[in-house]
Amino acid sequence: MSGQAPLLIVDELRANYGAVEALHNVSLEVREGEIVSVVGANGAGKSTALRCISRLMDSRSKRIEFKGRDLRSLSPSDVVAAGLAHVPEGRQVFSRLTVRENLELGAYLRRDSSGIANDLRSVETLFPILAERRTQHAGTLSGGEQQMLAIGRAMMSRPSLLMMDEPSMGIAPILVARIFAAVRELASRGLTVLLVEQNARAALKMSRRGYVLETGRTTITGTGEELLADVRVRNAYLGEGV
Amino acid sequence: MTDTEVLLQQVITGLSNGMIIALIAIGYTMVYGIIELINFAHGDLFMLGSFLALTLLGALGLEAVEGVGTWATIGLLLVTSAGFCGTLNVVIDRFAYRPLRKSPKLSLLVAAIGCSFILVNIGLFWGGIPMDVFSMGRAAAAPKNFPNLLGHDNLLGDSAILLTRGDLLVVVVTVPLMIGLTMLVRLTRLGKAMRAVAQNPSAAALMGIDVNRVISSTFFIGGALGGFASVVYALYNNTISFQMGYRSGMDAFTAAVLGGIGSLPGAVLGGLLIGLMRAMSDQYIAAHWTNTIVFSVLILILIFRPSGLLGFKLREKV
Repeated sequence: MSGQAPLLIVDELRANYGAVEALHNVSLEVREGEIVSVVGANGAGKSTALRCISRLMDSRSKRIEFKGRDLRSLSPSDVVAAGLAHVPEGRQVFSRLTVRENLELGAYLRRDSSGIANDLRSVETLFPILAERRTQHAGTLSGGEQQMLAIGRAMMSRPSLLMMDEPSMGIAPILVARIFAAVRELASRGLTVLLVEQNARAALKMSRRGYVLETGRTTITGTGEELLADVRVRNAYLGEGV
Repeated sequence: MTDTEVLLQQVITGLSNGMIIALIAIGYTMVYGIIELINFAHGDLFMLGSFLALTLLGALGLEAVEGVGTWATIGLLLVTSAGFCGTLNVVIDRFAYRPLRKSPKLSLLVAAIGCSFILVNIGLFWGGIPMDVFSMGRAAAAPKNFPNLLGHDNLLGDSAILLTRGDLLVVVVTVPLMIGLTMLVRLTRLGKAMRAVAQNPSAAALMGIDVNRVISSTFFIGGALGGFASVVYALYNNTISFQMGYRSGMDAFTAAVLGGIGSLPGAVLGGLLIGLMRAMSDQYIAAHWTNTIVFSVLILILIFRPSGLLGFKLREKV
């Protein structure tokens, strides 16, 4: 593994929904340039962990550090400003705004209009359908197109780390393949990615490293290949159980 | 007056009152759009705006100004009441509503009703301050005369139809404010952020939008429009009372629901329709039936078309 300093460090993250503790101990790190996956069953706490990192939710933890900055006391908008973008579960596009307006909102904190125009072009090159649908309301897009819009919108903040929550959920397989190809393309240009997925096989295949999250705890970790070969992972998450 | 002239007169009265209602209705609809709260304190905020305007007139001795001074005075009252109501609305949100942001919507609604009572009682207290302009000696609860700064001249000359400077003032104040607000919401960075927060606050936060600041701005703008409306109302009707927020507030709330709560054009359309409905009912049915008619419309809308005339389909909240 490279000796680079981690971009994101999460150490003993714990979080509650009301009186119920949903995350007991989530620890992970993401280094610059990596694609890292967190896989696990429905309800294991994957989305909750991302929501804590981007400060949509309060948590208790020993450490959440991004580029050496403590995220725990920041607001969600400060987290975006620091360079961490979050593509939420279920896409959450602004359905009554146009595709173009959605993308522009992704660049809300930026003031460099020529840079924004460049990035709009590059998002529309990555996902040409977004250029075709530019003036349509986002609510009229298919699930897969909305996912592309959600990713494009997050890219408009020029993040150094992109967190994606279940980008394959409820989307036709052909579009899933296209979306994953786009993520690999972005990663090859230097974007760091933290990917949360139920589709463990596809996620681990494209990841340098992965974590398994079980009932609020990160339990197994290793490189993508190691996890794909791990008998526990194969049994529980890759549908190869005996 | 011929029948046609009577009808035209009622149209003018209805539209003028309707535009004032519309301006108040925008305050309800904006706040509902962004935090799904019927801000029952909004009508009473409007009432306090008119009390501030009357107090200023008295304190500065501007009751009897003439000529250019009249318009300068009106401008001063408009700006002061708008600033006051906007700021007060932000303060109410900050201390009464924000702490309840994650509570059930019912708690928020009860808080709004509580704020409404507080403001009404402030109005009652305020009316008891011994000032000449409050007709000193009369009870605190008594309606106050608001000086008619604009006179009663008929701008249509000898016509039987009366069009006053009051009608003109209504148009001159409300129309530019509505156009300005529409442009702000459509074109500016704040407007885009407001629409984003209204549709999906947590996704808006992920865009880097400071959601609480956008909500505060919405309360300020909505409150300020109520402040503008309060001065126009007082100059148009020449009577204010600590209870006027309740009636105007209910009219405006009905207008917002009729047009489609959450929709700006809907609030304007609803306001004009309610204004016209009141004027027609006053003339052709009977004034004592007018409230019954307006609230029957409210009930019918809630039953048969809860999304209003221009509102989007209401999503089922889980």
